[in-house]
Amino acid sequence: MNKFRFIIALWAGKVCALLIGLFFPKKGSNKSGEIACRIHPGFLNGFTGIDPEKTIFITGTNGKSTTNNLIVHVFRAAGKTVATNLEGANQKPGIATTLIKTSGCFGRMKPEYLILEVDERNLAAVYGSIPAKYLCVTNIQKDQVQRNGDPDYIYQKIKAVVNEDITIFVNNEEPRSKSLAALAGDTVSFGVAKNERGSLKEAGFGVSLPCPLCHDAIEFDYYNLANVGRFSCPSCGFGSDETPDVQISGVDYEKGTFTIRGEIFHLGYAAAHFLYNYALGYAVCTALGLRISEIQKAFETFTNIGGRLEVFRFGEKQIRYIRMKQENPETLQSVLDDISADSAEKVFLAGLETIHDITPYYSNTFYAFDCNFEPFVSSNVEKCICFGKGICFDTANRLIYAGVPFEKIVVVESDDESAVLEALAKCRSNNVYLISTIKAYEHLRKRAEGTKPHIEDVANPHGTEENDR
Amino acid sequence: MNGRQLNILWMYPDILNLHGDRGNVAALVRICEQLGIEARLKRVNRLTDRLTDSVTGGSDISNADLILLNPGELIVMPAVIHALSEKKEALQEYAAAGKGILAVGTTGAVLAQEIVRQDGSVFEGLGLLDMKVNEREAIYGDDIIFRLMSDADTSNTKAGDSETKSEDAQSTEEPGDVCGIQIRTTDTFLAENQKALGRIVYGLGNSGESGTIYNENVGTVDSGANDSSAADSRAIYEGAVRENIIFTNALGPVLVKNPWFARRIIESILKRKYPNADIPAETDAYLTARGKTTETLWDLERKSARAIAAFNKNKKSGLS
Repeated sequence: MNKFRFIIALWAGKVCALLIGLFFPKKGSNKSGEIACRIHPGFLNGFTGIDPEKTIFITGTNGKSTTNNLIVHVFRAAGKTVATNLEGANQKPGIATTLIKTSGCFGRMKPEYLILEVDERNLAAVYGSIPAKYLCVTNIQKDQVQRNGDPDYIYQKIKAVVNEDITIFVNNEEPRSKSLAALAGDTVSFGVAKNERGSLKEAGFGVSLPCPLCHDAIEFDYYNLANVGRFSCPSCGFGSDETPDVQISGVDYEKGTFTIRGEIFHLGYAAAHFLYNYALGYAVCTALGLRISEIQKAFETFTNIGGRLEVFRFGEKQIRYIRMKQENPETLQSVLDDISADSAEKVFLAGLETIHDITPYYSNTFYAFDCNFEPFVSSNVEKCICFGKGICFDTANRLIYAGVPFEKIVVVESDDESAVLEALAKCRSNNVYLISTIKAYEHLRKRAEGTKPHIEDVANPHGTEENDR
Repeated sequence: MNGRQLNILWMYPDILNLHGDRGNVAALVRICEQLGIEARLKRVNRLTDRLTDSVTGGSDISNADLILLNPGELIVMPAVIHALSEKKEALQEYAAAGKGILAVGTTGAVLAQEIVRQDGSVFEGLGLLDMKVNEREAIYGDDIIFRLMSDADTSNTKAGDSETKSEDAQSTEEPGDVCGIQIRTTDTFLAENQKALGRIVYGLGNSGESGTIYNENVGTVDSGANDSSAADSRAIYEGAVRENIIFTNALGPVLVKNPWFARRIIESILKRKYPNADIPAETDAYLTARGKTTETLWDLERKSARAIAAFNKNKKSGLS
């Protein structure tokens, strides 16, 4: 009966996938799976031909999609067949959609390998149906507080899945991920040696995090990213291994290369957070038996799907839109670090925006207070234009607390892109960085590319009032 | 500076590290400076730190005027409570002297009598506020706006008579209304004699009841607009306060977004510290001498409060 129900659900999913592919080719990464799971709640259990020894799950707060893309790219470049969810549909319906598309008429998987990005909250449910041998945990950090509350909520979800049958890949420089090693049958640790583009800890007000084992304060020797670096807990002795199993060193951002175990690899993306994706990618590929030369060759041709940088123009101005996740301080910090690395004069368009994820929508901007703005403040900023109805004032206030002079701040209390562009047109610098939601970016881009900027020549073009702060 | 000092003890900043609330520390320092008060900040980083001043040899707790406990994960609370329990006597003396403690978000549990987790485990808090804390089944995140109770108020049931400001539910720019964010992993139940910090204007109350008074009778034309007893029966409360010991669910960071609330805390503590001085009058005189007012100093925060009140008035919230 169950098998029959599974087949009905599978075929319904396949028909749905076919129709979506014909009529809405850019959509539908969840829909087929959603329908199939509705017909048969135990749908994921019905597939055959999945070898746990050739199944890899990638979970964690940040870097799941990029790492998944990278690993799949290397496997395919090495001639392996892979079923995966590259579109980032990482919850149960999205994973079901992947299996529907890559299985036969009776649910037998065709590709040899199954490599999936899995949402942390869905991990237990997916693992219950597909017991993967390999589990990668990129990091466990602050994210989506309206759903997760705090990082420990996610930590406990992942911890509940880890067992002695699993080989776990853990980040040697991220305390929560690293602490899961003790629960798994086998562990491969990955990391990056102290890096010249590492994040800085803020003097005075900087904070780290509690030890996941004894809950006293973790101390970092250095940071490669926000709250990622060599660490230790003086109270219980937990900490990074002196040298992880896989360690990236010798990073040359100019040449675009790095070294692992004496071998040189191509670095396609010159940002510190990508190094951890490469380290984990290498660790997985070698553990699954791929050759170093295959990995080297594939790294050279890797292009990240849905890259997080978009460039467009507004008259003479070049606007770089860098994607960030709302309510995720680590990605905001990476964006700020990227902007700070550019010493040229710049304008910063800050559209943090109200959070429209689940009901109720709300005006959270506190994650910006988890970030260190000090390098940004001293990176030659001409103006900061804070926009977004409701929270533009809070964004401006965060910048003031960071030390941005009041006269450099322009507040646009509007979601109207014309008002934002009007304020931008009054700036002299043509070097512009934008952070916002994708939707706001798309609207702004559409308007910018269809509008010629009108430059005013006035003494105080922003109309900002002096404030006696 | 007018010669007044506020000694702030920032407890366990790396452990109680959530929601950007380190901004509260920056806000206290900044607002003290704006008001002509010298803020002296000391961090206590490790649970094992002895809390002895390296210069005077005295206790850091007795030297402090305000102890700040920012939000942390619920899982760290037993360790934090255990560490503080070893200083319980000093903390009780500190509290009896009318000094300040501000516990924000989940860390309110530290001040409670008892904490019950979803797995059924129970642990004791410091008991400095008469309340119990239960871990929620589901996380709730939203905005929160509440109206501070007046100093004269002694009972939550009299909220309708004694709020510090009750003319207009939307005018959160007036001192008396506090806005912020709440990420609720716990509910709090106040004992009958435990005073709440404020009355909910928008958001979730202490014990998980939801409410908004935007559609009620405060400053609006509505049926039953002047029926204060009806309003009281619907009153939903936020936080808890006993003298200068305060618990609030409001994040934001709450003192960044509401400098008028920070001023109220600072001045209330300094009134106890300097009993012969007229602290608010001194502050006003300090500002006047420099040609400043809090209206101009906190213009951005007032605009933010207005904008967020408007956002909450119009949004689909799911609250009744």
